[in-house]
Amino acid sequence: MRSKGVMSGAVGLRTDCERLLQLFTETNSVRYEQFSALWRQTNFSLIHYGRKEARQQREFIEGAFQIVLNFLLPPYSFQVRVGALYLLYGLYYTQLNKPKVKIRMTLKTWCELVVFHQEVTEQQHLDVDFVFRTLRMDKAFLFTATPTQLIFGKKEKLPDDEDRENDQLKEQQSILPQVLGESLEQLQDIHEKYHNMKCELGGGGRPDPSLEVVKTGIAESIAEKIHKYEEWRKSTKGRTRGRKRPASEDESTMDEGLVESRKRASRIAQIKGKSYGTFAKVPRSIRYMQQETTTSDEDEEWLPSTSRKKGKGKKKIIQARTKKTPPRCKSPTQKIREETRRLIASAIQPTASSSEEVPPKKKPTPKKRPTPKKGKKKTKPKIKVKIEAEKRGKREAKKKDGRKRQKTSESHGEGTSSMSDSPKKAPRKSPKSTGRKARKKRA
Amino acid sequence: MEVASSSETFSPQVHVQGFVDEAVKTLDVSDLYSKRDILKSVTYAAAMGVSIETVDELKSVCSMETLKCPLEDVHRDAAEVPTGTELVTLGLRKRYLDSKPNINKNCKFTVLSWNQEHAYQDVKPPPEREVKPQSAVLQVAVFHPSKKNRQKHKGKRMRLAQEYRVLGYQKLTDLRDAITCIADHTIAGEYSERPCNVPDIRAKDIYKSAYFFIENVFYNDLRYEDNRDLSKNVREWKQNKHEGKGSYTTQNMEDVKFNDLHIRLGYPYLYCHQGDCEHMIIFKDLRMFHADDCRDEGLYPLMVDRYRFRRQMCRVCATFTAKWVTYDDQLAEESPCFFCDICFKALHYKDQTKLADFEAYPYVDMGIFNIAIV
Repeated sequence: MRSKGVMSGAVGLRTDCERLLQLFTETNSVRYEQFSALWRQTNFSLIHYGRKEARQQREFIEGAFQIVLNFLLPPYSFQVRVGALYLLYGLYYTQLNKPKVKIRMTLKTWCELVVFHQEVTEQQHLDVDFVFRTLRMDKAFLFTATPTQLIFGKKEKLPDDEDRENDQLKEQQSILPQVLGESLEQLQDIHEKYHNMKCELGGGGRPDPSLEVVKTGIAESIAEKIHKYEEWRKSTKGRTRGRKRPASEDESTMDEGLVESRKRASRIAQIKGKSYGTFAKVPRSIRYMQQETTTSDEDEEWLPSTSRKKGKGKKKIIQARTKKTPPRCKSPTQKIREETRRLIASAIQPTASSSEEVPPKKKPTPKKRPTPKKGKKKTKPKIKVKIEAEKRGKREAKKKDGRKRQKTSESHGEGTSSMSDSPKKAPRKSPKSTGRKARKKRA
Repeated sequence: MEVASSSETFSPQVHVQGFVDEAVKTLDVSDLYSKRDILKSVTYAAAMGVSIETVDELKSVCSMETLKCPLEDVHRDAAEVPTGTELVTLGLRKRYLDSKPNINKNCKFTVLSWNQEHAYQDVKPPPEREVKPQSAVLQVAVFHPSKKNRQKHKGKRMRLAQEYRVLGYQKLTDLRDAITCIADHTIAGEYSERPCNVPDIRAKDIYKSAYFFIENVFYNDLRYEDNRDLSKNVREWKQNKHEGKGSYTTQNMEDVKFNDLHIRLGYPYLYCHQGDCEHMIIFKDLRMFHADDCRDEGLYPLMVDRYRFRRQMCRVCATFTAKWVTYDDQLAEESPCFFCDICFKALHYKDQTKLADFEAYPYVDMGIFNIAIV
């Protein structure tokens, strides 16, 4: 909640002000005409809009003055300070509040402003002088002891910080490509070497078809999948995820050498081990359903291929386990993770069946699925659709035409209900079927 | 208290009069002049040392018209986020509004505070009641009393009861009289035997003692003869606990003006009355008097914000505000239970005799403070 509260303030204004002042400094003049032209060009007056109530506008404009006052103070060049003064003038007079919200000015800031004003008068910048005098004589300033009102315990973020935080929001990037970038390259190299060796074995330009067990272009397909995931992440709210990660981000960007990359690999392995090693607490009520953990199955996927080839009995056990465990709801991240894992696994452990990558839909799915929760979820939309269909039917029944139309509409309604159901079933099937495939491949 | 973690939320100690003196020193008289003057070209010309023609030219160059943007429209709805600009602020605002936040909760100010802000702007008082020039204005937030264990309810927010604007040269007693608290208005005593003749004697008429505790000084309200020094116990405790490590001092509330205070803005202080009704008070703001402030001295301390109370309804008719509260009532489902005057008498009495066993106390609802101001 708190972060949202922050969002309601003058977020982003700093960037806008910086841009405007940047443009102003590029003109190499301190004339008001230049500034007002830029103001109009950027439609800066519109900045006040988007706030319904006066109190929200007040909150915004107070934050805005805070931001602009920063630019008025000495570390900035004379031109920026003039621009900031104009900006203050513009914001003060274009604000939508009636009566106008005053500019809070501490005595310290005021002293510096007076010095600045003297400088201006000495250099005979009449327009700057005029603007300052107008603000001053129009009682635009409120002389205060502190820059903002203070309340104990309520830590008010300076608008500055808000913006910076926001910048992070904007530039927020997934570290997936950074993490996987080099390893993907390595994978590509290894794959090429492997391909060349196969070619040498075959003697000809192309490897023997019996050796074609690995999908060509694994690295590309992984990259593509990551790219897809990126797009998905951008389209949805992936903020929290992005925030949790940056610790490993700078770590991964620092290094160049081989040794360090190895270190990183081990670190990543550690992180992975942690994330896969811990499983969520299961409520006591359904704990009996998870007698054997699901992760054991996944872990075995990662085991070296030699250990898995042994015996068919093990496979059966695995299958039995997976049947028992309730299917988990899978987020896109999980799916992608699984798929990449599967791909890598298939690369490591070449099997004959890997050529049939596209999942055929006809594969039979086990009927028993102990999922009380999912069942509920599934039934809901059905009812909705039916109701809608009924409504539609009634509506159409009213349209004078008697039974024929009603009948058709009913049939139509049923059709839609079944239609709408099918896609909801589909995603449930898919992870299972893919899992099955993976298992088959192992065999 | 979490002083270390939130050290930025209050200022260092400020002497109010010292601030005023500094302001008078650094600012021009015209800056502190409490009336607006019309912006004339002549004054500009005199101040800037240029001819009136140049001033007029400057006026045209720097006029408000120059700030009018092509996309700006007179009939534009302020609530709508305009499109077609490259302003980052608007883009973010749009994204924020699209996430459907509870805007009303997230705003720093309440509707009332905005309305009150300039409600008295046009008040024209007689000259003797004009606010003295060059005076400081303080904004004081008074919070609801909280007897809850703060350690247990750490996350709970203190609720603002009222917020006042006081003048620097006013006395602390002025603020003390202005603060309204339901504890001052309660009628003490049990009246189940004679509900018809409840005396209209409020707690504030009997128990008039109070104190402010600001920066280790107790400011006691000893204006009346029967007032007691409520701070006595605390001071004795302090003396016993930290022997020789300094002690709290006392002063009379009516002798002290806000100008004399050394305060930390944003820092919690205490207002205690009725024995143990303890309000946290915070000096939120210290500034110089502005031309747009209320100029009538008599209206200060000016209430600028207050909490909207929910009234306690009668449990029987659910229409009227409760006037009675009963404990251990055989006829009620709960204890305490609230009744309006009519329902209470109709339910509990027949020919002025009690029908059941209960304790009844007159109840004064917090809703009495909801009477619209302005």
